[in-house]
Amino acid sequence: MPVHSPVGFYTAVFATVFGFALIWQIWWLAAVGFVGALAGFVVFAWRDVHEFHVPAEVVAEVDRARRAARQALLDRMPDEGAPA
Amino acid sequence: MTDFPLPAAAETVRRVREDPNRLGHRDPHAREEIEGAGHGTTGPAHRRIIVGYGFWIFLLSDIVMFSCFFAAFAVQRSATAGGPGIGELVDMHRVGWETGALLLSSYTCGLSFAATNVRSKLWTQVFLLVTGLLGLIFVGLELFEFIDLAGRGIVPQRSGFLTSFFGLVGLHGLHVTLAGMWLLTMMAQVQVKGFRPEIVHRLICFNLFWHALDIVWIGIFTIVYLMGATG
Repeated sequence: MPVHSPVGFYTAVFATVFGFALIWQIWWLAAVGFVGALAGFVVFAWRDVHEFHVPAEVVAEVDRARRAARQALLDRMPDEGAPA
Repeated sequence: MTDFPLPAAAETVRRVREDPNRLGHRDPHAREEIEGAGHGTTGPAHRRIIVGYGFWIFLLSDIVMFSCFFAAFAVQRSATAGGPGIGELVDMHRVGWETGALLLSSYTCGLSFAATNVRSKLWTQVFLLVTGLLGLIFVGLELFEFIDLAGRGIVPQRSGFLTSFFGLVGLHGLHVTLAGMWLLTMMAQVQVKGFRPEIVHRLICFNLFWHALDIVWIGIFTIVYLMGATG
């Protein structure tokens, strides 16, 4: 799985600032927005850990717990109300 | 593995056997791991395949965006509002140099990846640098073109045609500029981190992007400049 990262939100904020500044020709703000967005890209591109592994055993364990909870719920329900 | 009902599993095996490229699949009877193949009959594809596929999807979304700009240009082409038309904008000499620089940069980009494949850091860097310099020449020529046009009062605000012209050509120029910055980060990563698998995957993506930009330029060169020069 890809690692969790706020870089998309971060870049979007600075890109929005950049676009706003370009439209209203606020050049210093445009520079801030551009450099900010670019910095997010460079830092993110430099990441060393870019994904994490979920072992099949963990998936099986989580799924087993979920199924057990669901089965317990079904067992507690009256027969006529139980979904198929 | 017995969770699959037999018909679906048999169907999968048939599909894998008939897949001419065997992408993401390996021979179900093979024991050893094969680079570029999956980890089983229906197992996950190799990371290189997944990364490349994901990047192709991004590229296609980019192509969709360019298609919209091309369509806008085609519609607005004669909407000059009494201002300059396409024939007055085209300087074939300059556009020829731009095209030459960009096509050559695509070639050197391919050479850089050939160097990556033999894990030669020096030649990868040399060809990436040449690619970047050619891209810089391209962007510089385009910048001079825009400054030249602006000096003659040809600006995006003048007419619908000029808006779509600067939008389309400028969008491509912006892509090349950003790709150049990506190229610099890739050169830095290759230098510091070497040819780790994820770095090579990013180099693959960069190559795809650079070549895609070249293809888009071929479209612009033909539809905007060549067709403009011939009326």
